[in-house]
Amino acid sequence: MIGEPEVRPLGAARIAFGIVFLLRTTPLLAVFDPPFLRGGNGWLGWPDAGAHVPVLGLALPSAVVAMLVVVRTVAALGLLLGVRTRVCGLVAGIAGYLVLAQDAFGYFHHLHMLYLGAILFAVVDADAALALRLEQTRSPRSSLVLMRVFVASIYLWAAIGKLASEWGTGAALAMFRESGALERVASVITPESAAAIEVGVVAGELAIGAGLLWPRTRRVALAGALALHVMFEIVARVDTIGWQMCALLLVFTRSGPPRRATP
Amino acid sequence: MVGVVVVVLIPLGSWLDGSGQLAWTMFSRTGQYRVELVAEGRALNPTAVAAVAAPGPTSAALAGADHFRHHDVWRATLRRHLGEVARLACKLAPGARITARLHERVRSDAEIETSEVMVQCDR
Repeated sequence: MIGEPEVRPLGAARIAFGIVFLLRTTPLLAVFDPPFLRGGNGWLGWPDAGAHVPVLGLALPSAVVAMLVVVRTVAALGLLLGVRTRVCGLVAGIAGYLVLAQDAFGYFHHLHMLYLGAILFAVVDADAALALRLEQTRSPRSSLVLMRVFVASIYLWAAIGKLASEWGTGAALAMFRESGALERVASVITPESAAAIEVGVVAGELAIGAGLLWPRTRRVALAGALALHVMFEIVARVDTIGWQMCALLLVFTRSGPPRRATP
Repeated sequence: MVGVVVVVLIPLGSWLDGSGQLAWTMFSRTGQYRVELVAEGRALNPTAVAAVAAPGPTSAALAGADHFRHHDVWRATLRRHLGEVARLACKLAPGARITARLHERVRSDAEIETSEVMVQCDR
């Protein structure tokens, strides 16, 4: 069950990510009434009587969508436990995208991250450690590199997106404040401080993205990333993005040396 | 290969299509939108269409959209799916010719950009 030490970070991240996947797409947390479970029965994308705008006209019958939700859940459980991990990750991701495509207005970055993440765990050696059904590693080194570069790229793309918009002028935070999204820290975001905070966030994302890629700066970048997500949770509680990123950041934990081949 | 697709090509393609929705642009853009629906010269309230569409995300995006709302993802989605929204409004005006306009602005004091589609509803 412990498996190959070299890819243990992938196994740990897969388990954490699988937990977040299930918490976000099923009513497991309904008793706590989190904002992301409101307005439905808790099963993300479960068919309802409403009218929807499907992506690319891909409107599936309700029975098929319901079946996809069930399949997505079972597959996510398999991904979490490490049973037929590659098949389960692919199925969870693809079923998730198909359900998501039933309503264009249901698209959010964190759901894309959830389903793409599941698919990525299916194509790397995440099944060779911390899995109920262990598989042989195929390419442990490139598996780790792929997942690490993917996670770092999220920070880098997020910073690029902000650099290409109004971030840095103070306008973006002022607008978010006006919308009520930053209610908890509204008093801190003044016209004088907004631009400086924006520059700090973009610089932080760039530094984290770059820092995660180099072993020497990785520990500091990891601490910075965790601090950033804790701050976002306190300030804006952005669905499960922070939870997903914290799960994915486990791919940067230290891996053990590869096992010696037995004669 | 998978890495190049996931790390570079998908986000880059999403940038090039103008939406950036697959490029991890979380909170990088802000914006407001307002929806105007007109059926044969008669105004239809998007909230009434939202009520017909309820429950679900489409309904949530349309509710209260007769006034400017803050939501950048829905703003971008509305731009791409304005025709489908107009068709949803057909439920309130069968047989009518419906004009749907999307008014967008990046902040309250910014210039408003408007896009428009027309659909002919079935009876």
